[in-house]
Amino acid sequence: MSENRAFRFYARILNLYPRSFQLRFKAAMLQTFKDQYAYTASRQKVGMRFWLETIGDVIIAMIKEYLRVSTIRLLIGGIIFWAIYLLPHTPILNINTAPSLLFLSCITGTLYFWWAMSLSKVLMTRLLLTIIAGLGCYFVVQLMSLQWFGYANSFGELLINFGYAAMVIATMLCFIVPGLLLEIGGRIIRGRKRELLANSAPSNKNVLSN
Amino acid sequence: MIDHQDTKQVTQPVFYILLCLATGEKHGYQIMRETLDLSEGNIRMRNGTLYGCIRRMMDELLIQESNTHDMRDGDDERRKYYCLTSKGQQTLDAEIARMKVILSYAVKNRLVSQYE
Repeated sequence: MSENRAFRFYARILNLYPRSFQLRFKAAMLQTFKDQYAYTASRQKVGMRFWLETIGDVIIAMIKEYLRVSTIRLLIGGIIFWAIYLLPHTPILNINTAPSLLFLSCITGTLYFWWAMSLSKVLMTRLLLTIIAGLGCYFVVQLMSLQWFGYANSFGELLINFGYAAMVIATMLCFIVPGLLLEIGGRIIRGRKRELLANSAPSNKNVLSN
Repeated sequence: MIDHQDTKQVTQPVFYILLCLATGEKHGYQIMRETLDLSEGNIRMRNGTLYGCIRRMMDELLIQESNTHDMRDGDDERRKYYCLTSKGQQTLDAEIARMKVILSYAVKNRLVSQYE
């Protein structure tokens, strides 16, 4: 692949990033890629390994950025949630149980997510921990209801209930709850931090001389 | 005296980026190369990872785009230079202080020699 074609190809890949990210970093990323490409080409032939590493890295980074963008998260969450809701013969989700399930999922999801935030700095690990916690607690509750209240008729039915609820809770926790939190709280907090920084940040020279 | 409680621990790539920028403002590719050298080849950041880290660090106010950088010959204006903020400097100092504590413990208990 010629140099110009490589740059055009990479620029197209960068177009797939969320728009807010593109506005901030696309030009700089393209420039860094050019530097990196020139350095690699000066030492060896730019081969398949270079492209696999570059594209693989960009795809993973892109997924992380999309998970951050609250609008996309809310959209995906909404679609998955309603797709599950509209499935026929769901034993646990119906018009009577959906509002309470939604409410409970929001509250417990938020609590689990805060708990997971104290354990890990990595977003994906936090989400994974949140889901595990949510499913663990739900499973215990289901077992208790089977044991004490005869809520499900058999263990098999309990597992089906569990599966549907797990999908709903996972969707809530992964997309909708963090999405809402980011949307409502994130902008306010970031705005205030930027204001503080603008008022109090010393110049770079001062920082380095300290 | 650095208060360790005021700063949270950072991930390895973030630490190396802070370390790179402590010696002066740098653009993306310089950070990438210097990180590779500093970590003796262990931290190999590609473009996506690097700018993901930079975005997070800017949101956490650890670094900022430099507005004092003067364009040198051959510098492309698309290159963005980054520098530490005072919070970034504090975080780096706290991280180095943590390492000092660990190292002094290792030296005191003669754990270092086996890695030399």
